[in-house]
Amino acid sequence: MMIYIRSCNPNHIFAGIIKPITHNAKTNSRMRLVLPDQSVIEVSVEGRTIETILNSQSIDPLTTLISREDEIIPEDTIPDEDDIIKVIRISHGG
Amino acid sequence: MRTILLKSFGSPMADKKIHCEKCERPAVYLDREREIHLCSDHLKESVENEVRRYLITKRLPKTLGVAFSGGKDSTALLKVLSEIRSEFPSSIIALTVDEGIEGYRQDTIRAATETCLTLRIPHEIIRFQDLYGHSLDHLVSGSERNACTICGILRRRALEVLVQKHKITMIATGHNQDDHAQTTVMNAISGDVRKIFTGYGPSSWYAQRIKPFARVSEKEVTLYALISGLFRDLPECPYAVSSLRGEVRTLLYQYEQTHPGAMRNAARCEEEIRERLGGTYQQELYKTCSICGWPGSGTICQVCMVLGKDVRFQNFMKDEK
Repeated sequence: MMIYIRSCNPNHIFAGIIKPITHNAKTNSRMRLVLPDQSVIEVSVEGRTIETILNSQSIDPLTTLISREDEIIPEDTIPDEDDIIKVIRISHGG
Repeated sequence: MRTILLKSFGSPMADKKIHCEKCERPAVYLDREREIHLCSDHLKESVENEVRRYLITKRLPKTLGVAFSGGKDSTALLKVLSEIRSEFPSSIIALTVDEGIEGYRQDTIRAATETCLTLRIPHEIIRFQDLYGHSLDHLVSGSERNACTICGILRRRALEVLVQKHKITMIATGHNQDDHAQTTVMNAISGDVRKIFTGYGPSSWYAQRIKPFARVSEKEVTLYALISGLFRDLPECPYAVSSLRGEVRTLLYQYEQTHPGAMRNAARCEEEIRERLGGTYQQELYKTCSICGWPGSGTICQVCMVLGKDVRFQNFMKDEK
């Protein structure tokens, strides 16, 4: 379990015992998922891979390519909470 | 038409990136079966090697036709072939059929033309309007048959017309491993054994079909096109409807996620049946169409039926009596 606190002993951070607070935790921002129809949804990453997140949104990861900051990344990447992930559809119906 | 450009491949690595199994550059692809990640260069190399492995088993002719719709699969195929063409004895010609679909085909035809100019590959386009006197839009509007069925029948003939014009004996199509796996399952569901062998027997009339992407997944093909700067987010065909193939595709992708390699195995399954039984399976001989003279499965070919020529022919015969 990761503990987020606003002040702590720096030695604990260096030792990896405590993870320093990030702007994500402060602002409670969530990852943005840009879908093939260009609509945007916000999702909490919670340590999940993009593949798991896509599955939770009923999107088959095998039918899509994923890009972050205009670079293609594999679907087993664990994104940051402030990432903008674009989903490119590769399979059409029919 | 929107061309998707990627800013860079292989930029300096950041900690959050997954790296290529072979070179430590940022990975773009997860190979689920082999459980490895590949960067753009190694993904390209992997796709090209698969095509090499496939082509080396074929007796390639002097001129290889490429069925080129302008979509991602045939675009990627043309690009791969242009990359490795010095290794093979064949020259390449891209063959495109313009079915005449308003609001859809103009973009893909333009994309096809641009790709051929970029790759410096000779390109020939044949139009339904010129060949049959009507566009697909027109033919579909007056028919109760499924648009995809009509299109498939007429497109195959149109391609054959180009093939005969250029004396081509072999055509490469952009069908990928996913397409093969879907077809295998569809053939099993329909229980039609003949379909497994259709188009694979010797024919003095029809050009032989080869599928260099038979062992390359749709995702790899799309990535190859994207990495090569040739992937375009083209509109979907307005006639594309939910079909058995769509259902099978969804099913297979679900299996592939839980059982990596399922798609490849399904595709190989039919391939192996063909290899083992192809020589022993007695294929039906072609009949000659009594209207147009082309070979087909019946005395009146599918093209003449679709074009309504059979009715006119029957009326003509009645008048003669």
